[in-house]
Amino acid sequence: MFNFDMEAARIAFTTVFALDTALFIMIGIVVGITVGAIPGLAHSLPIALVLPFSFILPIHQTMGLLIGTYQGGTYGGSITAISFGTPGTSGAAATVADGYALTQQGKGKKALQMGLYASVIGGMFGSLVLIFLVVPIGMMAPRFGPGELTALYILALSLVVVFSTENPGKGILSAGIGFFLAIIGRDIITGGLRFTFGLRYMQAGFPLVPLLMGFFALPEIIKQIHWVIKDPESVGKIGDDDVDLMKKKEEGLTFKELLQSWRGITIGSILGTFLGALPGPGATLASYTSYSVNSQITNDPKYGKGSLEGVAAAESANNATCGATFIPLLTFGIPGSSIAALLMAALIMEGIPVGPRVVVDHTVVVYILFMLMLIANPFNLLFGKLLIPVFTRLTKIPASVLWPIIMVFLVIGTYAYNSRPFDIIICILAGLIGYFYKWYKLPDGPLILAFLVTPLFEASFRQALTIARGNYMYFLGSGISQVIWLITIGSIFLFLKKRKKITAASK
Amino acid sequence: MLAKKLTINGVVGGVLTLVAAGFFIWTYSMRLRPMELFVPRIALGLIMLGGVLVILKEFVKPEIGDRLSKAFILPYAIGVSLMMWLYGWAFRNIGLITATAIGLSAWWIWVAVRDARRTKSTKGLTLRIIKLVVLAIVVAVVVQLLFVNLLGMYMPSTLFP
Repeated sequence: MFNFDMEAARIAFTTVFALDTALFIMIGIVVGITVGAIPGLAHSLPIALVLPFSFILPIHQTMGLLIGTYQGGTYGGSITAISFGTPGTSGAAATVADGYALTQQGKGKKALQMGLYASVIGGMFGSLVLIFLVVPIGMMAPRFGPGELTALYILALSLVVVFSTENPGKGILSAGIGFFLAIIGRDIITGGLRFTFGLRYMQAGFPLVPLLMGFFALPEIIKQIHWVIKDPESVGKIGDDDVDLMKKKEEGLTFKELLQSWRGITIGSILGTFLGALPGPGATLASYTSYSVNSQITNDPKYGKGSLEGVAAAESANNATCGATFIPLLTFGIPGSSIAALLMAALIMEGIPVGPRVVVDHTVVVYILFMLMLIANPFNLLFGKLLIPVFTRLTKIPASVLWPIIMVFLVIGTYAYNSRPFDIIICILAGLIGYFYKWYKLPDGPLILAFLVTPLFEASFRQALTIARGNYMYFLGSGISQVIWLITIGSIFLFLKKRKKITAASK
Repeated sequence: MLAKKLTINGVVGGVLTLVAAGFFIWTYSMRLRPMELFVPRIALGLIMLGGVLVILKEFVKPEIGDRLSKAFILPYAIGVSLMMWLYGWAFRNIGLITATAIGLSAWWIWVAVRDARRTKSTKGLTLRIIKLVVLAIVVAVVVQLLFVNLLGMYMPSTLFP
C-alpha cells in the first residue's frame, strides 16, 4: 500500500509555496481569465501558446502557469456569457441562459459573483477529489504491463468516440485522422520511414506543439480576419456602452443568496468531477448535464429565466472538471480532454513520462501538481474579483487589432519550439486541418487524444506481441486486461443503447 | 430523389473514404514490415469506416445531418496561411522587430484607411494611424524582449533588428 511520502511533500511544499511559483500562477490566472473572457477564444489557445515555456522554465513554474491559465480560463468564459450572452468558452455555454437573463434584469454583478464563487468552490472540490483518488488508483499502476496498457489505450480511444459526438461516424473519422497524423515519420521501433513523401523534414513527423497551436488558433484567426474584411461593422463592437457593467451601481451577491444556491453548487461539483474524470466529456458536457439535472430538482421558479442557482450549477460543474481531468492523466497517462492533452504535453516536455507509474516514480511532481491545483483556486477568486473591471475594456479591442497580434505570437511561438522554420508550415497545415474540422463539424477531442495515445498504444502493442511471440491471446491473459476489455465492450453497448433512446426521442 | 440525398456532408465523407482507401492500397506496395504498417492500416481503416458511416447516415437521414456553413472562407484561409508563412520568412531574414512592426503596421493602416473610405470620414485618420504604428512597434519590442532576450530563442543574424 502507498505510504504518504513526508519528504516528497516537504520538497513539494517548499517548491510551490515560493514567490516565483505564486507569480507564475498569478500570470496564468490573469492570462486565462483575460483570454477566456474573449468570445471565441477557447482557453486551450493560451495554454497552447504558453506551452513552449516548458522548455525553459522549471516544472513548478510551468505547471503553475498552465494550471493558472486552465482554471482562470475556465472561469473567464463565464464573464462574457453573463455580460453579453456570448460564452467566452464552450464550457460556459450553459451559463448563458440564466446569467444573461440576470444581466438584463440589472443583476449582472450578482451573476458574475455567483459565477466566480461557484467556479472556485467547484474547482476546490475537484482538486480535493483528485488528491484523495489519484494515489489509490495510481497504486494499481505497477500491475499494468504492455498487454494491460494496450487494452487501456483502446478503452480510452473507444470512450472518446462514444462520448464525444452524437455522430459516431464523425468521431471515428476524427480519431482515424489523429491516428494517421501520429504515425507520420519514423517508426518508433525500427526507424523505418512512414508517409514522409520523401521530405526530409517530415521524418520527425508532426511535432505536438506546432500541431496543437495551429489546430486551435488558426481556425479562429481565419474566422476573425474573414469578419474584419467581410463585415467590419460586426467586429469590435462587443462590450460597448449598453452592457458596461462597471458603470452601473449594482448590488452584489449576498451570503444568503450564495447559500440558497447550495443545491446547484453541490450537483455541479459532483457531476463536474465525475464527468471530468472520464476521457471525452469535458467541461461543456459537464456544465450542461449539471444544469439539466439541477433543473429537475430545483425549487426556483425563475430557473432558465434568470436564476442564480442555474449559474451556480453550470459554473461549479465546468470548474470541477479542472482537477478531475488530472485523474486519468496521472493514473493511466490518458488525457481526458484537449486541455488535459496540452497539460500532458507540458509534463512530457519537462521530462516526466506521464503514465501509470508517475505517482510512484515522480511523487514530488505529483504533490507539486496537487498543491498547485489547490492554491490556484484562491488566486482565481482574488483575480476574478480584480479583473472583472479590466475584462470589459479588453473585450472592446477590435478584432482587426487583436487577431494580428495573436497571429504574431502564434508564428513566433511555433518557431521558438524547435527553432525550425518547417514547424511554421506544420502549424499552418494543422490550422487548415483544424479549420476543416470546424467547417465539417468534426469533434476535435478524438483527434488530439488519438494523436497522443497512438505512439503509446503502438509501443505497448508491439512490445506485448514481442513478449507473447505473436500470440494475440496475451491481450486477454490477465484479470486486469479482461476487466478493461469488458468495460470497453460494455461502454460500446451503453452507447448503442443511448443512441437508440436518442433516435426514439427524435422520432 | 437520389440527388436530394447526396449532401455535401456525404460527399466529403466519400472523398475522405476514397483518399484513405487509396493510401490503404498503397501500403501494400511499401517496402515496410507488416508490423510497421499495422497501425497506419488501422488509422486508414478508421477513416474509411468513419467516412462510410457519415455517408450512410446522410443517405438514410439527410434531414438530421449537420448543417455546414456555406460562407466562402477558403480564400481567407489561404490568405491567412500565406501571411503567416510570409511573416515567418520575414522575421528570420529581415529581423524580428522590423518584420513585426512593418507587418502589423501595414495591416492596421490598410484596415484604418479602408474603414475611413467605408464611412467616408477621414477625420482623425492620421492620429489613428500614428497610434497604430506606435502600438505595432510596442508589440514588436515586447515580442523581441519576451522570446529572444528572456526565453533565448535562436535568431539567425539579420540586417535589421
